[in-house]
Amino acid sequence: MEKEELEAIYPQFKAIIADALVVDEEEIELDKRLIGDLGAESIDFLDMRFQIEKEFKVVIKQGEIEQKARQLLGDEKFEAESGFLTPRGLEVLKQILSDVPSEYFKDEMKVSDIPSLLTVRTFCRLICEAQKETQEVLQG
Amino acid sequence: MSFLFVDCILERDAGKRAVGVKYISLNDSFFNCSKQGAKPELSPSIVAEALGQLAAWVAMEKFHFAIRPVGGTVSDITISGSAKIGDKVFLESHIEVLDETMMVFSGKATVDGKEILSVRKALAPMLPTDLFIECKEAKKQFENIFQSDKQAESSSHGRSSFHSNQFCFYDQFTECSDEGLVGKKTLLPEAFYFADHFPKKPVFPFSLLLDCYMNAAKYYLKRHLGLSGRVSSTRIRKAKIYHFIEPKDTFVTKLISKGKKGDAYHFSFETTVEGKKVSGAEQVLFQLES
Repeated sequence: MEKEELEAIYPQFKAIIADALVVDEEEIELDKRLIGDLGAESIDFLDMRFQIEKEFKVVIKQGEIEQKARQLLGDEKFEAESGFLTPRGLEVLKQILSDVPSEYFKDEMKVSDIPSLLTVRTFCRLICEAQKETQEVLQG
Repeated sequence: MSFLFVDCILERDAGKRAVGVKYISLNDSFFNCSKQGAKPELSPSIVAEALGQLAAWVAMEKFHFAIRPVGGTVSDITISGSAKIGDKVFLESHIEVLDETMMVFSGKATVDGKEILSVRKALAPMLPTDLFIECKEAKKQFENIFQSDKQAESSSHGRSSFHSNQFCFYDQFTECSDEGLVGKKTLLPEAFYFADHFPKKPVFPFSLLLDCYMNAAKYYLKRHLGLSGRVSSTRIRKAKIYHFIEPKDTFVTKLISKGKKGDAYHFSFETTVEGKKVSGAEQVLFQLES
């Protein structure tokens, strides 16, 4: 994601986070995790999704990252029976979430842990990608 | 006794908007009585609940009652008037967003053309109806809402008699200081509202929790600040329910006094069950009549 693209999205998204999570904008940093660091709950993600749709005119689908990884690998190669990610699944997830600091990943992670990895920067990138997709569609 | 508050739907466009009516009769529940000799007023949170229920009915209708909105967040509730016994409250709910994951609506309630309450941007996750109530039962309740205004009015007089706002008071207040106070309440499983909210998974209604917040603020104004004037307007901002509060749960609410800004008293709230945050409201503003 280009610096200019990030700068175009971040201030507006920061305001959305501050409003949804009832935190001061000063507390928000690009590499902070929405759940672990900023205290987001599942209802807050819905709230942010609604505000993103309104402000940026794009839809960030629930479970988008997981869906991408499954499409790349196939269900069986992505997730083991116990709900844990396979080693290959974890590798692909790290590629998809290349903007997430590596220390946030654990060696053994469950599929249900994926939302806990999402940082402010990840969301900015998702918004930027969704905007580009929309533009491409509009341009035919 | 019932926890369903829309007596009649006058107009509806499934998934988009609805206009309904709530008749206030002596047989209703959840009255507040602010002055001796004055007509009891329906608790404003019940008017907000009615607006939410109206939106919920048309949202459910759109999805053939397979999913329903439950709980969530509300950006702003402004209470500027009241509904008294004998009043006919017009309810108007507009759904801004509705899909398989969430419903967002805004609405207003009026009496004799005067707005008494508005709700802005209330968001609720859409969840499988079956988790809370049999789909068939929900559909039946919807069909039972009287489509005829006259029928609904006469029916409202026949409701079972029970009027009290005891449900929305804390069992105990402690730690009352300049910083605020702490309220504690244990939910009795036999509380009547659990029967409708909901039969298969009883949860404490968000609206009643907001009522608890308002009652705690009034208690604080009276007991700690010695102010007993009539509240002329109230605003609740950024209220959320993060996790359901269930029968037998004891919830603890911390009211934080944010002082007086302009002519309004500001408070914020945080509610926990066994230490886990279940709800909060960023601002509750009270303006007192001078």
